[in-house]
Amino acid sequence: MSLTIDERSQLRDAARRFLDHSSTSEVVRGHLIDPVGFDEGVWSQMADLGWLGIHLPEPYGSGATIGDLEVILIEMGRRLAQSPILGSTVLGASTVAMSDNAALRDELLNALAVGTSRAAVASASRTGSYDVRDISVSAESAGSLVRLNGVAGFVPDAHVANVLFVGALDSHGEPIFIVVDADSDGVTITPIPTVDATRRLFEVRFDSVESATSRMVCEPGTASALLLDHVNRLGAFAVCCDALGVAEEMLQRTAQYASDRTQFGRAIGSFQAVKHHCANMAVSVAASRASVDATCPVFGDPDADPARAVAVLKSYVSQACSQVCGIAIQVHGGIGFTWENDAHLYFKRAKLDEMLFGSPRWHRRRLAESIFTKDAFTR
Amino acid sequence: VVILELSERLRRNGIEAMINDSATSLIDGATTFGEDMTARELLAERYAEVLVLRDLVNSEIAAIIRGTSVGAQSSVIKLFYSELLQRLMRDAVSLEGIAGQVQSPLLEVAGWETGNWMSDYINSWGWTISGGSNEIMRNMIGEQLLGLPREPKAQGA
Repeated sequence: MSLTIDERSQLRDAARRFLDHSSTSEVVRGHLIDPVGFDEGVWSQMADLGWLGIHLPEPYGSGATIGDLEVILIEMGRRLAQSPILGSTVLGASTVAMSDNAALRDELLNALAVGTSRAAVASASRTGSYDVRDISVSAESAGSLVRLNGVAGFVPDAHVANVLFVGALDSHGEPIFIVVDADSDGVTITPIPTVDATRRLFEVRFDSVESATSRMVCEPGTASALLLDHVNRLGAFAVCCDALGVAEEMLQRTAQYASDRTQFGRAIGSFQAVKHHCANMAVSVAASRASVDATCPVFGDPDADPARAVAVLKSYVSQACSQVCGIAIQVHGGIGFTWENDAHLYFKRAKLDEMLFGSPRWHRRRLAESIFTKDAFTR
Repeated sequence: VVILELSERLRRNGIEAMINDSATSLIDGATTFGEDMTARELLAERYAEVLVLRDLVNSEIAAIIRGTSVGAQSSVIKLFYSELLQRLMRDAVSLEGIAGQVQSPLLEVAGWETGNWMSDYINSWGWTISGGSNEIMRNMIGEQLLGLPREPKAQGA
């Protein structure tokens, strides 16, 4: 069951209060160069706040939908919050929640919901494709064992995960989705140095890594392909929420700056050249907000078409929000181009959001496949 | 309510018509545009924007019903709609190439998405100018929604 409008608004206020003091610019900058990239204390507090299980079915979580995580994800974007919530909560816990492997649910769902266990999902190819057919990990069966070889790319938060959910292709080219302990022999996790250092991505290598067929998330073949696609869509939705928070904050700070900063004896925001930049940002933010809000319920609606909805979302929102951050730098002028100003942190984060889980162009190509079919639209 | 209708028309008579035509209409007199990767991506981008427009209109209607609508929000929709309409018609004309520049009888219907793309493109300026030009809309958004200071009156005005 989804949260009511009032409950969502309470959640947003609580999230904002928490992040305002736990994720200040100083805190964020302090974690930019440390290898972990976030504060374990803040993670525990997020667990205490119930954020890690909000989207999980009762009794593990509050029984809300993934859409209700939207509220928290937007606020986290607004404060550039650093935590493994994307890898472990959005992707990992959701994967378990959708698994039909009861033993796996018993083993992991509660631990992920309370934050004592952390997961990461390896669903992208080494080169960053989110097409299941491009997966660059192979699986070979040996009795009740599955042996994995290959490399997965751009895995969020793998460095602090104790379990990995791995997409692989078997000897027939059929996808499987399987759990591997992160400390298994043959697993190597290497950081990918991204321009945005507020979040962490990893290359995960598998050298004859063994797992058991009993640890498959779902049946090999179509079921695994569908679940991998779905998890990638959740990732795309999550980074669009993040990008929206990032863009809303940049809009607010830029409007404030344009009101405060004077030039030629006037606030620069009174000049139409500047005012119109700000208005364009506001239009992009309003449209992005409407699109994100409209996409939330899709995940809980059996009649909805999440593939098309998420392709539309990622095509528009992720690009519009990074453009908003670009205009923010321009309006801030020289100060916006300095290390001390936060604008570059927001811009880099928005740009990572734009590309992670499929670039806008990649999603448009997928969208084109669904709309350029004969009689896609009957009139 | 008017904008809701316009938004739905832009979907049905605009982008969906263009996509439906894609199997038969030619780009630059040669390839059909349903087969052209660049054209497909372009139209998918516009299609996404048309659906976002619908979300934007729906969210405004919901806000009006709840009584939480802010006046300048309608300027946001007007701006987004008219510029999207213009982009859409521009792209349609661009895909037609020289064939789209041949005179054809105008349809006797009131509409902005007649399928005569060049004519629709020309008419799109009616939307970016009328009802308060988009520049005026940007001033209103800047001042009313974002609280930016007004432009000072000129000396002697």
